[in-house]
Amino acid sequence: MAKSPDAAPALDPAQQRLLATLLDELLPARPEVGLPGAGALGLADAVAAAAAEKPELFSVLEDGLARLATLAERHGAGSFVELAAATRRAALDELGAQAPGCLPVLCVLTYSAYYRDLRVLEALGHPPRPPYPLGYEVPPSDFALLDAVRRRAPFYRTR
Amino acid sequence: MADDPVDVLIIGAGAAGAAFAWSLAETRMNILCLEQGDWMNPADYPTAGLDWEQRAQTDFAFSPNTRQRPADYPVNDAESPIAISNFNAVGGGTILYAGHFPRMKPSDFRVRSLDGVADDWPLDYATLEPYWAENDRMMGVAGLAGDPAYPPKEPTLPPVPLGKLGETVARGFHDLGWHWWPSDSAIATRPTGDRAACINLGPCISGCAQGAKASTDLTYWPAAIRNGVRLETRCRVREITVRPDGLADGVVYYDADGVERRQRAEIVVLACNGVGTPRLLLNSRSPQFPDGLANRSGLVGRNLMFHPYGLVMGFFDEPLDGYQGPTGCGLMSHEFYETDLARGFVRGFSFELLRGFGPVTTALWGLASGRVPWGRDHHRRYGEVIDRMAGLIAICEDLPEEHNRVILDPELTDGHGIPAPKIEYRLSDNSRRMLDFGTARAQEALAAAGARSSFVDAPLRAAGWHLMGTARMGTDPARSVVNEWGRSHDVRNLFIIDGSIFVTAGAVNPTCTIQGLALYIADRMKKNLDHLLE
Repeated sequence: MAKSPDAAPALDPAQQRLLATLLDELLPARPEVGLPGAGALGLADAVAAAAAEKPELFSVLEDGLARLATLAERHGAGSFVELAAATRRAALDELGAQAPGCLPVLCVLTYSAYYRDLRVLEALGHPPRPPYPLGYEVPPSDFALLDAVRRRAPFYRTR
Repeated sequence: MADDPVDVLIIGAGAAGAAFAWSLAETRMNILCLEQGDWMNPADYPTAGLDWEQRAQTDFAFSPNTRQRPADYPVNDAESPIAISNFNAVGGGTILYAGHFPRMKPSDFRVRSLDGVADDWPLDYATLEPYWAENDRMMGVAGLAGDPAYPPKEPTLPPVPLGKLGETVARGFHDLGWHWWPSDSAIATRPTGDRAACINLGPCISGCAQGAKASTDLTYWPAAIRNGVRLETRCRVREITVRPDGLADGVVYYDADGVERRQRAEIVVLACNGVGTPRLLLNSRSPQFPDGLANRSGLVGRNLMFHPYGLVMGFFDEPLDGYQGPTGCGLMSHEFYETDLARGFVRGFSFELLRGFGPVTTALWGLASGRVPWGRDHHRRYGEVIDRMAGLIAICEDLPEEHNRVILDPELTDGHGIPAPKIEYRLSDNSRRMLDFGTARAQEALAAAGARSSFVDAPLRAAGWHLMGTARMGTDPARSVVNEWGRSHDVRNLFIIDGSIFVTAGAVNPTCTIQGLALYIADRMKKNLDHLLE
């Protein structure tokens, strides 16, 4: 489908599947504490959309996905999605060596989406909401611990 | 807007401009303030959304180069180890400041007499004391009386709660026998005027959606406007113009539509901060002032001081609830404030508590520091740090050095084509030694509080919040830009009231002293109206 010149860049379905798999490698599930993988959580769209806000970020994303597709072929698979887990890790290490800036950028995008997801916040025991408007209850402090300081003579310098 | 002349034209509606305008309003003079930014809507502040941590790094970032809002101007700080932070709006830097509100101390005004370095101020602690107190009443300051690190003073509101994190760190200071005290905080800990009480949202440093933090759009400006001051927003001043006799006669500025305008004035008052003020003076060249307005001393832009920040984050075994409560307000320590040459440097530093990071910031910090990798081990390592970090910041006194300066960038301009500022700054050996000593003491304090390890970042690059010294005050026109009450030595109807006029920096956040000075200068003007320009 032809894109209009002003349309935000977007991934095709194969790139989306690849990205979802990649996200699960970067942030895998930890079922024992209820944390889903970033790909399984459905964050690929959010990561792609965040990248699309800046052309240079989207270029990094597209380049990384293209390199992973090539690396998968070298490892004898039709796509990164089909690789065994250990081989995926090896391919990611190779990607890191080829394009050192790629994985950090992908991690920033992924972490930023993952750690504001309500399901993740809940699993972490963090209130699943923004700070405002409810805020947080913090009891007034007991300043008895200040007694030793209160007994101290003034120590600001005047001469 | 008509360009009928006004009595007083204030440039900049931040901490200083607001306090000054409010004070001078009682004269019933015709007072106008031009501000390059706009009014902020607290409902738009980041904490109302789940993306609050991302927005603190984008449209509410400290750096104008990152933020790139229409009101912002770029700053070339690429070669400085400390980057410029500011905010351009009604309220200025108080929109994003932490609200940490300590006064400077008696020795800060006498560093030449006491320590043989830099220069004494042409005024002293006692002179500013009533203006600090007046400012405290207008801003609302939470704290606790009885601190032996200061002459007696009375906060107007109960202290900000320490929370579990603050109480943990306080025990470290207690066990070491070091001074600590609840922060003086410009935060309404109970309902104050039209402001609601603080509900411990956390990141005061990306704007207070609750309106509990004392930003001057909420404190001084409503009162100043009620008293007749006019405030025009989205007006960026290009230059101050002068008459043939060398007095200032007004400004040329661009209005909200980008149209070039002229505004005449009897008195011009600069309140654009320690970078914006020298930028505007250097951009105001004329045959009478070929090196920039009010710059016959050659000191406009020079003696730039920051507070180099040494950040130490300690890692604890237990959750600290560090996302609850004002980020930068909790406790402070002045144990190492005054000079002790046995430490290897002159002057000193204060400590300020930094509460913990949110979930996204923790992950991104872990990524950048290498402590939290991606992949199979991510969640275990993330679990070791999330809500288990507490910070201390050593706020170091920088001494004035003429080679540290603001100049005009030869190429970079803002959206109106006005030359942008460039920062030339090197960290001095004294400041470096102070940072090393301060971060080592912070590690001790955190270890005493139970931290199993710690992480040091010094100088903290993002921490160029406090911009001082670039149009210093003094009695000698050859060694200062303004006199002891903010009037330019060279241009008798030009006043400067922001952090530019600081002679030295002290080792505390400067906002309450900036505002105290602005109130003091306004008071001097009111008392001398009949012979103001003599």
